[in-house]
Amino acid sequence: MTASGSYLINYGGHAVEIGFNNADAANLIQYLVKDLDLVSTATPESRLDVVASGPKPMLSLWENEKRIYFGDSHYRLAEILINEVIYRLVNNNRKQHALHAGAVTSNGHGIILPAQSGKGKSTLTGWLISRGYRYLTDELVLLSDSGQIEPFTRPISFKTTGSGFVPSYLEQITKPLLVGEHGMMVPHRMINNEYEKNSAKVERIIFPEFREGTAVEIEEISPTRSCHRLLESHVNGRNFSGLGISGLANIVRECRSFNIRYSRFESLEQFFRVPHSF
Amino acid sequence: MDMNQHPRLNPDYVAEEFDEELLLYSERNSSAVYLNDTAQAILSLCSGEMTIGEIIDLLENQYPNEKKQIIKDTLVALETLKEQGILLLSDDR
Repeated sequence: MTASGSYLINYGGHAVEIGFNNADAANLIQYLVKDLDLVSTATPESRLDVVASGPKPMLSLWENEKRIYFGDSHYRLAEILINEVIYRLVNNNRKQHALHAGAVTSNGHGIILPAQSGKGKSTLTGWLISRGYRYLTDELVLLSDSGQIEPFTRPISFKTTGSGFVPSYLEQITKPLLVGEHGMMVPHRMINNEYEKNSAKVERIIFPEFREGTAVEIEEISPTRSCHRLLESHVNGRNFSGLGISGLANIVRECRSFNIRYSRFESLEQFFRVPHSF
Repeated sequence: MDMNQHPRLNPDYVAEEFDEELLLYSERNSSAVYLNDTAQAILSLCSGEMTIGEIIDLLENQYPNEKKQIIKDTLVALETLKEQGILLLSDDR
């Protein structure tokens, strides 16, 4: 039986500690953070605690004496825990640009997929890795001034609200997932088990938009428009005191950027077939 | 708009120039604005020195065949930039 303990996560030079009280809580945390940089020593900026109790079990999430969640949904607790951890890890990061973005690599080429929630970045990220791209993240990247991607690697989070669209590449997955009323979290290895921790410099910036019933539209955009759109996904822009936009602009100038709107993955096959040529 | 007012760029905004395009960004407002060619040309004249009337006169002299369009485009651009908080208007230089 697993005793109480904690995981210490380092991301972008900032650390958060997540405590657990038993095996149920430990397993849930492990499911979420196993691909992150788990360290044995670091000074955490804050500590969260997951507590599981009872046969069902009932779950709660705490920060010190403040209860952030209580209920029986593993999925809901996982969703809240990830958001809380991300906030604490990037809120004081003044060295890297934190962007809401999926990210993959192909033959060492880095591709980021910046988008706000609901635009389909997770489903597109999942589709790309089902086609042989290497997974980095479906949610968040840190970019250094040189454009190096530091991904927040977690299970892929699919929302099942809205259109109710479930990608066909998930149909093959039969193992138990972390499922909730409004979505599910799928370990990326279930979609493509050829995973090894990797990173790359960003070379392509693709702004995805899933819109049901539309024909595919792919448009290359200028660095200015790309930078403008990237700022919409910027999480910690206020930390850069006037220099942030220039650093980001320099990264964008070294990339090619595209807007893509789609409703069917098949329509994207050709565009993504040879990634380093687009 | 008052033609005697002097427009100038809100100092909260940082301008980032790309090849032929311009992006303005305000950390305080967490907002970014992409400027088209027309807005960029007009903004370049908004140093606080000239009044709106003087800016329109200058542009009319530069593009004498498009006077009516110049007035309309300039006023729309200035109004939009003002509403977005990018331009500040003052009675004095």
